[in-house]
Amino acid sequence: MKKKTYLSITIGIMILLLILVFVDDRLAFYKFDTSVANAGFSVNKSAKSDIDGQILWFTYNNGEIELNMNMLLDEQEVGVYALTSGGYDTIPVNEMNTNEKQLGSFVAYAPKQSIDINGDNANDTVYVYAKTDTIATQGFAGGNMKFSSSDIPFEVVFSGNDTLSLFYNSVPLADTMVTVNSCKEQDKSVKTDSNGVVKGLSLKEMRSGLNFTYKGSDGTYYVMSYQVEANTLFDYRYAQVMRPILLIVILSLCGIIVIMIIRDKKGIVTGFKRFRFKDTVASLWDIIVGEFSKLRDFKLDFMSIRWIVMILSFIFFVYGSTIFGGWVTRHIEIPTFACANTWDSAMESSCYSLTHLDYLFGEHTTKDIIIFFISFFTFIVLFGRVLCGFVCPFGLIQDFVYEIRQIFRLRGISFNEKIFNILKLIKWQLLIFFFGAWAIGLNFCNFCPAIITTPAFAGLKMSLYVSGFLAVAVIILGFFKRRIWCNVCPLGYLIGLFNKISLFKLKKNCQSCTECGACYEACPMGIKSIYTERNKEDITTSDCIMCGECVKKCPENDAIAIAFGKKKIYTASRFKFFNRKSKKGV
Amino acid sequence: MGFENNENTTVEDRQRERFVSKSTQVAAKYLRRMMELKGAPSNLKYFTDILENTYVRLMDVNKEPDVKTIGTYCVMVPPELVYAAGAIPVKLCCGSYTAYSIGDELAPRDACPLVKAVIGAQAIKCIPVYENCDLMVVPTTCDCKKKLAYLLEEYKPTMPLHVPSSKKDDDDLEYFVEDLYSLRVTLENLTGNKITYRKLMKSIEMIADVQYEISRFVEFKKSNPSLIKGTHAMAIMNSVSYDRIDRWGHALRILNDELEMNLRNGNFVGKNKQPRVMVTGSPVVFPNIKIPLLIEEMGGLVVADETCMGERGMYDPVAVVDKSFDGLMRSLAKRYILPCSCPTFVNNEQRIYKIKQMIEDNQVEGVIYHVLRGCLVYDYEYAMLEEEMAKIGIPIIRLESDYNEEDIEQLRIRIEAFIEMIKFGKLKEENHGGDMYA
Repeated sequence: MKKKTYLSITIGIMILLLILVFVDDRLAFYKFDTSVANAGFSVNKSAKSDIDGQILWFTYNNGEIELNMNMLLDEQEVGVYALTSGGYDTIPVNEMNTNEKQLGSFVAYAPKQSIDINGDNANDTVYVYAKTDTIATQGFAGGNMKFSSSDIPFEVVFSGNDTLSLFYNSVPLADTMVTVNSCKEQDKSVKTDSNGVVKGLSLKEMRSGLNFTYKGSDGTYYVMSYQVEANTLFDYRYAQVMRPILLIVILSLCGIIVIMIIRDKKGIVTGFKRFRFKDTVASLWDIIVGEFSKLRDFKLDFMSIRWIVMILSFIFFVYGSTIFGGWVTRHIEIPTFACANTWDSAMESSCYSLTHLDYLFGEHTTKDIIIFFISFFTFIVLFGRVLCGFVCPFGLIQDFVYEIRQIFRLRGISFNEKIFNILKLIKWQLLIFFFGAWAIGLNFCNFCPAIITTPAFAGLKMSLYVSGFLAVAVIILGFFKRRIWCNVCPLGYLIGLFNKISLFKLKKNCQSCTECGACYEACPMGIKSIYTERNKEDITTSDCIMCGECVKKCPENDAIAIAFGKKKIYTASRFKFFNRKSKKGV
Repeated sequence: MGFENNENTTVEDRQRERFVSKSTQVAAKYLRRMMELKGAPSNLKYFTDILENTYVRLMDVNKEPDVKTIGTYCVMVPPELVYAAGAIPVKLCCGSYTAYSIGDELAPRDACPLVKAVIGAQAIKCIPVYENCDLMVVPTTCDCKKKLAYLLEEYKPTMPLHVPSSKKDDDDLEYFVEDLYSLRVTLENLTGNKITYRKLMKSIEMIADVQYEISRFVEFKKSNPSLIKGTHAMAIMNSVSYDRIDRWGHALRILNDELEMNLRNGNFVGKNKQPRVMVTGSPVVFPNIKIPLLIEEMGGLVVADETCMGERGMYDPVAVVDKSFDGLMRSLAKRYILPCSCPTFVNNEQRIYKIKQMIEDNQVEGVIYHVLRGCLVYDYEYAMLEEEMAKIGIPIIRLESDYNEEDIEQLRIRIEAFIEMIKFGKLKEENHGGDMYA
């Protein structure tokens, strides 16, 4: 009876939450539409800029928009244009506050100035503007935050991670020299391309604000300082951004409890004796002893290196460009599910280009496309699916969830070859969807569960759409079955299809294998041929993620090994299996 | 009526007396012959004492009085589960000639001698290892073992453990996992102890420690020239059936350390030129050790033992993958089914690979294929193995024997000839620069 109550309460909470996160945008799950009204607005009247000549500019203070102005400016004459769905409002600065109607794009204007800007000792006519976009409202869509007004003749529009478009009188400012001042470089002359786009700005520059100066044909200067809402880490704003992750954790927890209770009541699978036994959760003492012994037995071997590399690569893909000072590779993209929408990633993932083939072939130069494909195949040849086992941040999350179950000694769901065959079918369908989603007007990213990994951790506000629900499903299932997503992952499978040309191989000595099946039991991908194969030495399949679990659990000397080229880097050994220090007993 | 009963008892008593005196004599004789073989390690005594206690002194397993004993057969009953339930397993596959002669009347003529001996040992009711068992767990492997489960029910509570006949499908294994859960319930009801994750993990670790020692022992057996005689090794492996495994493992460690010292000091038991022979096929159970004894008395060396009473039974370790109770049960199920090269499985090519690997590792020069009369499953696999051995140029001989000493002279002649053949082949090899059949 008691269990039944728990069950209904948990299912109730779960359903309620699922509906709420779908309906209520305030929960920032299905749609991350936190109202601009929550942001707040303040004015700093006597600020001093790091950038030369900047007299009006926006900054952010814990999510609050702050308008800074130089002492030279008269507060009474400064106003703000706030973009709304029907146009824009003009608000004097002392009456300015954020409200529901605003879309999150603001331009501050100052009266016409007469100052010497080019250093020729003569005063020039200067129009000064400052613009900012809060990413709260626009998700990552960007591009549409354009005023297109005669009030703002010169406008800078955000149109992507490192891309800004310049407009003069609502017309793209093509092939024109503008001066950019940033924290990094002063008075840099930049030429826009034929679409009025400025590219190649570093993330650090974007984050700390840019000051564009354009000299109109009549000799008038237009200055616009642009500031995008910066991702800040580990503060109040960061906690707000992490809300979707918290919801995913709560939903997954509910799901896990529901599955455990239902299973204990043998509701879904009957006729199996094992389901008549309750799940026995480890006692606190067991957990402490278990974890302590793990620490005691720590050795720097293949497995621990794998964990270290996974954690480091997570940091690399989430905080990389912050750590490396804004360094981001361009067009050298790594095929792994580290969300390409993360600004702070030190390397972009090729999944975005592969899922948006129209974008890849439509908006890149031939040279960029060639670089993209060369890098793609270089990664495949050099690493292959090692990327899945070692690098993929979503893999880390799944492994992490699995380890939690291990700590609590909870029963998993064991898959057999029938289920793996069904998964193979799903994998092919997903691969088709992966490449073809754009063709039927869908965006794969809105369905990709891996999207939960990097953007939120990097402090980026992002709507999850269907991905959020899929991520919950993957985490619940991943709790019971290790690396469940990797079993159907289209990108991983795509890499795996090239396993013949990849340098990392799984090798087997077919004679010394005793077919004990420990490898099959350990394999998170359910590759049965590891233990049944008796003919070929190379047993790498498109599913193998080189996690090394089979080698670790193999009790026969040299029966399985992971090899790079011809060199075996991790070989099975009976004495390693027994966790003994000596390599040979003799 | 009362008088008749009395007379019956006395007849049975007399039969028992005869049995005791005869069977202990045979066991003592084979122990003596074994010890007469040169080169026994000094720490062998612990193991021969176990055999002596069981078969000569007719003592029960050395255990606390309230600990239940579980009789197991074949190699598919996980001792891990038994130890986790606080009981102690004994392997009851029997090699006694005297028990065989009693069982001969209770089982059909063509049943294998091992099963006949088990039934005889059970029926005579005076071998404490059999008598004090609280439960028999009989895997349904070959036909004889299946019917054994039925016959044993008359004497003891018996549980058949359904071993799948094929292991190709994952589903086959699922059913065995289910069966292990049944075994768990049976053991829990019998002992009154709950089998928990912690207890099961502890017993798996305990047995893994022993398996580590067995691995070391297997490594020593690969040494050429040999460090230990095969008959002694077989006795060691036989003795694990009647002892607590941790205690036995401790003794094996001491023996291993001795072998390691011998290896360092160059104290070998065999000479370089002695033919290195592998014994495979039907189980060789003490005191039916006439074949290894004959081989070594004839100047051969049993360097590899691929029978289920040898290292094979304990060799494969449990690979714990999923740290949950169900995960442990799955690992147990996999370990006791998949690597098992018992010929009762439909497809058993893995045995060929195992034998080939052992031939390579242990530098085997000839294979003796032991078939107990009536042991059909092993007999079936002889043809396949013969073919494979011809490919790699290893001579193989099929020896059929029964549980009596009548065929001993015939066996001696055949073994002697086989060993001479290997020696001759070697000589030729030396003279003709490598080509054995030149």
